[in-house]
Parts: sequence; structure tokens; C-alpha cells
Amino acid sequence: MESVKIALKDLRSIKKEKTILVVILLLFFVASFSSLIIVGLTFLYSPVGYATAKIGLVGNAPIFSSLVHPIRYDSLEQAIKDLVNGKIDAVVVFNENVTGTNFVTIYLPKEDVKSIKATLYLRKKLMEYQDILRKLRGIPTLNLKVYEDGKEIEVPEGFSLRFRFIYVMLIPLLAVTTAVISSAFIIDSLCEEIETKTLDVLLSVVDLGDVIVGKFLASFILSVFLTVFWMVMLAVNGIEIHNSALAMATSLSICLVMIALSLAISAFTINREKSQFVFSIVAVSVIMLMFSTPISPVGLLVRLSAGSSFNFIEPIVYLAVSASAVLSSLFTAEKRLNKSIGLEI
Amino acid sequence: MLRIALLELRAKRNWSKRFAVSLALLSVFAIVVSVHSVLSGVKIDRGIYSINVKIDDPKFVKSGNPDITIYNGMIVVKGDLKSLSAYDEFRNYLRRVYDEWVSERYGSSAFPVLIRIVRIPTKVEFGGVTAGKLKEIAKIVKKEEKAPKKIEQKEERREISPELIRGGKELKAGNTKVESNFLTPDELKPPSLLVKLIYAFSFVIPMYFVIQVYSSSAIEDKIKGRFELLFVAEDEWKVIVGKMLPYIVLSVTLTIAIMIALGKSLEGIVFLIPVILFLMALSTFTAMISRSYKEMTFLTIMISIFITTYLFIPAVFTAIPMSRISPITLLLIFFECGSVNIKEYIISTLQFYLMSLVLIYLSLNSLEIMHSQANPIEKIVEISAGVVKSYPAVFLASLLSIPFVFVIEFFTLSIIFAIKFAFVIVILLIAVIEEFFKGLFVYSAFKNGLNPYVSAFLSAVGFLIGEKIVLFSFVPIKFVELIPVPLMAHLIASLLFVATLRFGFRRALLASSSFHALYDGVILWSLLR
Repeated sequence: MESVKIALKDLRSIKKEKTILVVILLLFFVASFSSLIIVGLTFLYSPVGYATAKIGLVGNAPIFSSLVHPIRYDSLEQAIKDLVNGKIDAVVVFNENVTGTNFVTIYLPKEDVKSIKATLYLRKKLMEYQDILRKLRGIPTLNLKVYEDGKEIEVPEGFSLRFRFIYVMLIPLLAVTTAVISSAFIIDSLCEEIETKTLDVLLSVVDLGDVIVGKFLASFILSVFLTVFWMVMLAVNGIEIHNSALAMATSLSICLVMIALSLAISAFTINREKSQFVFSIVAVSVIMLMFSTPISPVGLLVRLSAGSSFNFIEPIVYLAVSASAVLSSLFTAEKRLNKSIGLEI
Repeated sequence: MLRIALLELRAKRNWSKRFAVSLALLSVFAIVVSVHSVLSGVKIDRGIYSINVKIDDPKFVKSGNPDITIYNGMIVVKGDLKSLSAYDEFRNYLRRVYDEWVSERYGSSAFPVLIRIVRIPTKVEFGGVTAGKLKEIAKIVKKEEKAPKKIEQKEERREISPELIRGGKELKAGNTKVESNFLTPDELKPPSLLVKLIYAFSFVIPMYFVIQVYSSSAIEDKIKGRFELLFVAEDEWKVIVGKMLPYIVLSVTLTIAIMIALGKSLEGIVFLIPVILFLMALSTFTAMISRSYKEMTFLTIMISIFITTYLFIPAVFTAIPMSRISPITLLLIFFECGSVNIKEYIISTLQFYLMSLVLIYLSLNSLEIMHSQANPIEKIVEISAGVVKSYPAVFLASLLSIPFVFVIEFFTLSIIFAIKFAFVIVILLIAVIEEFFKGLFVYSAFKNGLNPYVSAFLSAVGFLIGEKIVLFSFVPIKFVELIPVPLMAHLIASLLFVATLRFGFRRALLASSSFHALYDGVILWSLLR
């Protein structure tokens, strides 16, 4: 019971200092920042954008010309001049060779942004061109058709970007941010009590164990609140989270492991500056590992929220792992703090 | 000053040996993990799609209720986002498989088109191309005209094998003497912006670690009263700057190390030094105004995200001239083209130097109230009242607030962006932000006994000039044409603020920002109509 009181005390301080607003802002930021980047990317790579690229051609290429309808130039110099002055988007130089290899030189603007439109357009057209030449040589080409309800449909290139963005980027980022915020919170609330000696006052009325459990509870409640918040935020924006209860449990298991780590770190360093520093290094490593190994709670979260296949044992295993991490962290933190506080007196 | 810097270093030397060793070990571990992760790539997308047959792509698993069904030689999808996305990725997989098959079976004749890319510097924005640049281009063209023939001949003599084409990348790495830069049409892809952004991030992220340590140390000095002791022995500004010095050196060193590691030109550091200074100055200021460690942590997070948006969002939209306001955009352009427009460089970095100076100045003026329990915004009002004591100060404060207003506005824009009906909220918030700063200085002047109407005029003019200087440096519009109307608007808003000030700061802010929002709304509406 004492530990619940301490947890509530800590949570009240978040409310009082309005830090919760900053935290919510931070989640908003993660969502907006990543979606802005994606909008920027799709805006530049959108199929609408490359429908109109103007291509200059130096050389003789009848089949290519029938596909691209380029502006013909007699000299490369003139073509380059027009490219430099922005009259055309790219210059293509080659003489068509129906039987042999066609070595095509493409002149593009050096500035990336300007060349994207022409690059995408030329890629599409040259792939078509390659198929025509292959057919002429009697090589079978890859002709893909896709059906939905018996009707043929068109799926634009790069269609998967949005799906990947939501489930492979945004949701993992929100889960990890929540975990980092809750961990930073426990470090601050514990170290502050130690450094400002308010812990001594607290210890005159409650056990050290209760204080530690209380601190832990406060930051766990914070992570539950934040997880619910971002899930609702996504739902309001029309993003479906499948298996939401299991997804939430998995996301919280990531939080639990990180909170357990930060609790142990602050119990060992008993200094905010050192703890935050060590925690940043550890957190970066843990997060990177979670993203780059095939078996990880983040991967499970991705599959759960996207509605992909998963094994029921997976969430149970991760919850068990995080529970044992929490227990051992609480145990070591109490032992360690008992020792160091005892020494200080 | 150096003495303070040494003192700061010595304080860190007090870290016990055991702690230092564990820190070093952890850092090594973190580096190993990072390198491993970067090399192995993101793997959390394993098994996100399902298909009814077994294929050799880890993203797909075989399932009874699949996203894609192969049936009677037809590909059938369900039509939802996941299923269509699965098809998009499945198509890429099929292309890879097809390419391998066709090259095995038909050899080089299966690749009738091989592409080589030559990149030409262009300049199409405003004005023409200079003679010098044309000459430079002519040189490239001449060289290129000769080059392809040579390479083609060599390539043909070697009888290009399909493996050679498919393995273009390994060839570049240099296991044969002839460099093959040829691509198949499939491989012709625009340079990835994301990769460039990741580069830029890798320069900035170490700075966040450094400011974290620095701000911890600064607030510890404040809370434990060490600053007061130091101020007795040394000038105040020397203490503050001396304390920042080791961290600035550390940030610069780390950034340079990363540039070397990534093989980038070291001159790029000139784009990052102002950012480093700014982050340090801002951390000092937040240490001064925050009440507790927790508040400091969250303010530091806020700062990091403010700056991240201001630096990186413009860098995504490099096509827009205004994006040059961020030194990161210029850094990326510099890495790409080897040079940047000197005017843009000066404006984009000057704002960071100015902000750093202003923040250090404000930190030095906040020493009296640094231990007060007022909230950060109240403290900012108090500090402003302590600084804005004369008419020129009102004008100057308003003028110098522009970069800060821009940082906050950029942040607001990118935060609100994802919400529906965003533009209404954006107009309202921008009005509140601008009127807050303008009103703040009028309020401070008023508290110091200056005439509020004169201050309102000066504040409005200062603000407008600052705003337009920044804007017109990037957008080519004639300066004078657009002045009278916004000046009137800024003036009316400020006068409204003064007229309603007797009902309190908040109500006055409400009145002036309502007018401001209304004005912005009307302008936007008439532009869009």
C-alpha cells in the first residue's frame, strides 16, 4: 500500500510540473516528424510527378523514340546547354542496336532533387524498352497481372511505402519512445530523492523496498498511460491496430525491460548525470539490437499490430522475460541502495 | 575562463576508475552493437506478409489465410492495404527471381540496355548560368564524350557475363581493374533521401548526448550552489563560457570523427559549429530556468525535438528555397555539389550565432531568479522585464526574437501537420506565438515605466523587419511592395495588446492574437481563392 502512495506522489509531480504535456508533445512529434518525412518522400517519388519529364536524345534510336518521344539534338553540347538551363530534365545518348548491347549514357542534373523526376520516368520507360528488345530476341519477359475479385487491378510501384511506414516504422518508434520516457522518469525521480536527501525523510516512515516499488509503479503507470494514448491517437487517425490487447502487452513488455534496466543503473550510480549517461548508451544498444535481430519484441509488435501471423507463445515469452527482468532489477536495486545509503550514514 | 574549463574537466575526473572503465566498456559494446545492427539492417519486418506458397523472402510466410494467393497461374489479392502492399513487395521479389533466371539462361543478350549516369551541375532557379560554370560543364562533357567509347570497347572485349552485370556493386569494390558503373534499367533508382538524412542525423546525434551530460552538470552546479561560489572568483560570463568550453570541444571532436569515419569532407564542420554553440547556449538557459531534474530532462527533450524539426524537416524538402534556412540542408547540398551559396550560408548560420549570443546574455541575466520556484514561462517574463529597459531595447528584442519565433513556428507546423483541419489550428497557434513575443517586450517595457504605445510601435516594426529579412533572403519577392499591409496588421495587433493590457497579460494576448489570427486567415483565404 505504501508503494502505491509513493507512486501516486510521483505521478502528481508530473501533473504539477506540466511535464506530462511535454511527454505527449513528444509522442505527437514522433508521429508527425516521421509522417512528414514520408510525405516528403512520397511527394518526391509520386507517380504523378514523373509523368511529364522532358528527355533530350542525342543519337539514333527509333524504338526508344517511339516510347519516350524525346527532343532530338544533333550535338551533345546543345543538349547539355538545355539541360543546364532547365529546358529538359535529362539527356540520353546512344545509337540503338537491336541485336547487341545498348550502352546508354544518361546526363542528369547533379542536384538530387531535380534528377528524381527524370530518373523515375526513365526507369519506367527503359524497363519497357528493355522488354521490347528482349521480345525481339525471343527472350520471354516478365508480364505480371494481379486480380482482385476476378478483376484485373493496377498496383502502383512503391505502394507498400505507406504500410511499411505505419507498421514497421511509426508503431515501433512510438513504443520505443514510450519506453525511453518512462525509463528517464524513474532515473530522475529516484536520483532526485537521493541527491536532495528527501529519500532519508521518506525512509523514516516507509521501507526502502516500498519506495523502490513505488517509483517503479509510477513509471509503469506512466508507460501504460502513454501506450494507451498513442494507440488511441493512431485509431483516431484511422490506423487500425490489430490484436490490440496483445500489441499493448508486447509494447509494455518493452517498457518494462527498459524501466528495469534504468532502475538498476540508477541504483548502481546513485547520480542523475551518470545514470542518464549510462542509460543513453545502454538504451541505444538495446534499441538497435531489438530492431536488427529477427527474434525481438519489436518484431512481434510489428506483426501483431499489422495483423500478420504470430505464435501465441511469443507474447507470453516476452512478458515472462520482462517480468523476471523487473523482479531481478527490484531485488538488486534494493540490495545495492541499502548498502550505499548505509555507507553514507 | 580556461581555469573554469579545467575545473569542469577535473570534476569529471572525479568519476571513479571503476565507473570510467565500465563506461568505456559500455561504449565499446554500444559501438559494436551499432555497427552490427547497421550491417545486418532492420529485421523487424520478417514475416509481415503471407502467401499460400513457400518463397525465398523472409518478409513472407506461408499461411492458410494469405495476403496473396497464387491460384491457377494468377496472382490474387484481397484489396486491403496490407494485401496490396504485399503484392508490391512480391512484385519486386519476382523481378529479382526473373532476372536471375533470364541471365542464367540467356546470358548477356538478356540485358540489352546498360546505363551509365553522368551528373552535371545545373542552376535553374533564378538568373542564368555563369560563364565559368559553362566552361566547367563543357570540360565534363568533353571528357565524357571520349570516355564511354573506351569503356564500351573494353566491356565488349571482355564479353560481359551476366554475373558481371548482376554483381555491378562488387565490381565497384574493385576486384577487377575495369570499373563497371553500368546499371540495368531496373537498378536505375533516384538517390535515396533517407540515406542522406541518416548521414545528417549521425552528425547531430552525438551532440544530443553531449548536451545531456552538459545540462546535467549545469543544473547540478545550480542546485548545489556551486555557481555562486564560482561567480565570486571569476566574471560571470567567463564562468558560463568556460563551463561550456570542454563540451563544445568534445562535440566538435565527435562530429569530426564521424565525418572522417563516413569519409565526408571535413569542411562540413562549418555548418555544424553554430548548431553546437546554439545547443550549448540553450541548455545553459534551460538549466537556469528549470526547477528540478525532471523539469530539466523534459525541457532538454523539448529542445532536442525543437531543433531536430528546425534542422531536418527543411532538409527533406530541399526543392523549396525556404529549406535553405537550415544549415543541415546546406550541409547536404555541400556534400552533394561541393559548394553552397554564400549568402544563404551566412543567413542560415548567422541566426544560430545570434540565438546563441542572446541565450547566453539571457542566462547571465537570469542569475537573480535562477532559484525561484516560478514556472519556466513566468521566469522568461521576469528575465525579459529585467532586460527590456529602454526603447531601443524593445526594438532590438523584438528583432532578435525572430529566429526563436521561427524555430517554435516550424515545430508547431510539423507537430500539427498530422491532425485534421490543421490549418485552422496552425493559424491560431502562430498568431499566439508571434503575439506572445511581441507582447512580452511591450509588457516588460511597460513594467519598466516606458510608454506602452511607443513600445508597441517599436515592437511591431522590429518584428516585421526581422521577419521579412529572413523571409526575403530565401524567397525572391521585392522587399518594399509587401511592407505596408502587414505593418498595419502588426501595429493594430500590438496596439490592441496595449489597450487590453489592463485586463491582464493573458487577456491582452488573447485579444491581440485573435486579431492576428483573423488577419492571417483572411490573407490565406484570399490567396487560396
